[in-house]
Amino acid sequence: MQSTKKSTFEMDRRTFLKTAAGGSLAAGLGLGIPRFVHAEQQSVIEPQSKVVNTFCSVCGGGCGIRAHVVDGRVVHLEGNPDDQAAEGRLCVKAYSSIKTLYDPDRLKYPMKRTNPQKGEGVDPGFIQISWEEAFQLTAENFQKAIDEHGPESIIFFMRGQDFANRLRNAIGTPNHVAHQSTCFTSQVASWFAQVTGGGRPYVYDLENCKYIMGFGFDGLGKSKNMHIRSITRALANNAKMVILDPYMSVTARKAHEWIQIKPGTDLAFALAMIHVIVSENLFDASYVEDMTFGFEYLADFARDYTPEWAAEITEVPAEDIRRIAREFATTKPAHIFTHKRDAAGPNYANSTRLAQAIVILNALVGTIDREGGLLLKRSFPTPSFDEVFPRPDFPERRKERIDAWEQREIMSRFTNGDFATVADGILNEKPYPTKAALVRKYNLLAFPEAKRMEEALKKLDFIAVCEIYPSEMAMMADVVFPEPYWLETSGVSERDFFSRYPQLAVRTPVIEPQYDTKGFSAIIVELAKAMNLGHYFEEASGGKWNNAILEAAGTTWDDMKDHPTGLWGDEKPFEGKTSFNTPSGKIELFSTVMEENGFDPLPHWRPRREEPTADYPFHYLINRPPMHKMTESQNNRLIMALYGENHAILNDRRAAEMGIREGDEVYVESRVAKIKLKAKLTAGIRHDCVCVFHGFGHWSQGLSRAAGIGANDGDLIPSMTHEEMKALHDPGAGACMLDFPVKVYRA
Amino acid sequence: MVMVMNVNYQDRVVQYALHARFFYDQLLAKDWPVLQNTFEAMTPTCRQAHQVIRTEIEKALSDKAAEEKLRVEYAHLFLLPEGVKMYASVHQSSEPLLRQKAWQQVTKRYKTHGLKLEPDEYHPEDHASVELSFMAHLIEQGESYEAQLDFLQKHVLIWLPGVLQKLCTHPKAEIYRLVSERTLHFLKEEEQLLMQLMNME
Ligand code: SF4
Repeated sequence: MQSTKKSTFEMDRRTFLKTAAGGSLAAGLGLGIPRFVHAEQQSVIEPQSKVVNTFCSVCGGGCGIRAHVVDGRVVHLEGNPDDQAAEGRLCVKAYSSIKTLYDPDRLKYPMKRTNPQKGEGVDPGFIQISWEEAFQLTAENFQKAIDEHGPESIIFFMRGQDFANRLRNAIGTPNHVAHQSTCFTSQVASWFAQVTGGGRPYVYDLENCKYIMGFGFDGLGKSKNMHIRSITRALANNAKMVILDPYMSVTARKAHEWIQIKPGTDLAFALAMIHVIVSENLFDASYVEDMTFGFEYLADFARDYTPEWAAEITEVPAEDIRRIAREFATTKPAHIFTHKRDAAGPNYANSTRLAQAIVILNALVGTIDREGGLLLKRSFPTPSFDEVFPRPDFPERRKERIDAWEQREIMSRFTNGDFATVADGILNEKPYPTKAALVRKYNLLAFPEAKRMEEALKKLDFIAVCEIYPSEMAMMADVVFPEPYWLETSGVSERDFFSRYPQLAVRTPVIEPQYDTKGFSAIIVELAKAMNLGHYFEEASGGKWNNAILEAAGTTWDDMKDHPTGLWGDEKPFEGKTSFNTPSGKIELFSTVMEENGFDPLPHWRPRREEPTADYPFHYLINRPPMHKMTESQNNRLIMALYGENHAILNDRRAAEMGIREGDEVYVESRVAKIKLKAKLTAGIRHDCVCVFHGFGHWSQGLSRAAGIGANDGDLIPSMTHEEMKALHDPGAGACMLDFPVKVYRA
Repeated sequence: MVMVMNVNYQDRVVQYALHARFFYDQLLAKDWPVLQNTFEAMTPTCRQAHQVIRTEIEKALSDKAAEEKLRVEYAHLFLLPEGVKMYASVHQSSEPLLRQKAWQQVTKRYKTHGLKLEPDEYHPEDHASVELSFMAHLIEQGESYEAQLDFLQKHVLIWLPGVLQKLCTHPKAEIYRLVSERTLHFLKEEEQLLMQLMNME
């Protein structure tokens, strides 16, 4: 039977091959369709499995991962048991990242826009283009902006990255705008001035802490692997946890005491604690003597900040404040933990002062860089990018920036820039017109007053966006550069959130890139070449930079790429630092750096910027679902199955008084915008607050799972003019993410 | 019921290759000569069946604005999420993700034939263009009708017609609506042809 069929067929084939000039017709047609090559024939195919060392890049934690790959498919991610950050576990965000890796909605090719109109609801009319065309088009448009308006007319929107920083400097623009003023600059300013002379640390030794305190600190709700692990171990070890938060966060739920403090008044509580600890001599005398500077100023400074004074402001009874201050000072070790967007993050005009007060309190109980407290990161020496890749001199550039960041006395030394003021700069051409932008992995929804930022971006002539998803920012792009997902890339990580001893983790690609993507460093180098700035990047590549980082630590890429654990650095016993990088060499309770820069050296009481009014009677709170990563994870089906929509979270009794029931649609309105959400009622929030979770309200139809769900919390946050920001006179240059009232009413 | 046409060996290979090309990559003006030769390589009957799409594609590729319109249509339908996903895995798994079981199965299937996809190929093994190319390959390699039908039914017809149906009614589809209708028709013909050939034996 089979042979008859075959011979009939073969006759057909012979006849046919004459027309195909003796070769395969399909290939001979020249259509360029997929081709097959010889593989070892396997009748029974055994699964081919391997384990690849990598590290997580969903957040900056860099938890070491062992990725299990079966037949070329990533089937499981496991925390690297040898890694101090992961300790064999990962958080839900990492586990779910396989869904993002294999999401068919990811960007697949470079694209350019054909529709010059931009904005929500506008079809960009994207078409696929070659990488060459994408670089050429971007280079031409950047050059046009430079020729007509100067190099400062180009803005880089991204986190700092060595290759991008060099390109920005080679172009000669001062405009590098990143998100930190919406996230943690208040804490950076205080740590810079009082402790490190640089950035702030994130290494929390919660596990060894006996009294964990937090002003809005939601270490469990942020769901970072190392935070969850160490908080749960501390609690199992009989540590007490006290959380002050107007909303019952995940951490507040697990706390021994949840104190519903009035929003924006945490500084008063902290000042009263200083008052109690100093006036009652409860501080750690030897630590204060040896490690701190300026203790003699504290008694006078805190004299009037009594618990009774603070009770009026915070609405927390004075006896509770006094008791907690005493417990905090006498239970050892005790520490006030603070991580990014808590009350000491840039939420209020007084957040930097709260961050200062927290440094003082932690120093008074002796837990800065001591076990049970917040540790300075231990790391290997880092190589200098300029030494590894020597470069020509950069051109002169203007000092003034589009976000007026150069006017921030302390923060201007960090190239963070300001999401809150950049829209004002672009729209009003302050101090000059800007025309083009290079954006990497920042979503439009992440900017305060996102709708105004959309208008600002529309004013630019050209936007190039590096992304993995067709996000809202990608929808605003003239050219889209698709990047690979981190599981498809190489890298080296210091693991910012847990490095008790220097340890580097190495990432090798778990699978080959699935689409026509390029790594960000390669994009920058190619773009530089297209702009005739290639001489700034001679010999430079991401791979060589990875190797340089490893060489500075005493190893090489070749030695590490197939290393059994993917980790470099032996465990070392912890030794607390005895000097700090401040003018006095000590932790400055009285900050000479603040004083020199025209700020209050001590964190005197300062109220928040805007209190609720009769028209806007609610405090506005923002939190994040534990399983989501900002605005990046709403297309992930697993994560959305766990938390699929945001709500207006209201106090149940207050809602009943207002006639609002669970699930009713309500408007939440600030002085700049309103958003519509379904109400979620709970007893776990103060009567005068409404809380909205971040990350929703996507409008890009390119996000098939996320589009049209919930609303964007950031629409309500007023952006600032350059002058408003200056008038705030905040050393942390915070964006005041919650420092405005709102109203809530039925839709 | 589709009437089985007198499809010969050459037409079958050319059609699989052509339809693989339609879904493989966007069409550009520079591709027209090759496409034209491909239409010419068909027998007159088969060529006639492709006349409408040939005319429309020729029009689109002979004019800059029309070419751009076709490229925008392609991006909407095949590159951006609002379009369709040309991967078997997305449609045959409990979750619409790439490289799930259907991808594994078709990859293994290629291996049982001693083949694998060329390593620098962008599309995964279960992409429509790859599966259609493989059908052309099976025919050219003189694989049995049974093997051809088996692959067609187990790996192509199980998902692709549903996606093509969606394309036929997709609001952004114009030229690709015609293309999908034609591909759909061809696949139905193919299944019937192979079943008939098997029954004859
Ligand atoms: S904590 Fe951060 S780095 Fe670690 S697993 Fe979670 S998302 Fe990844």
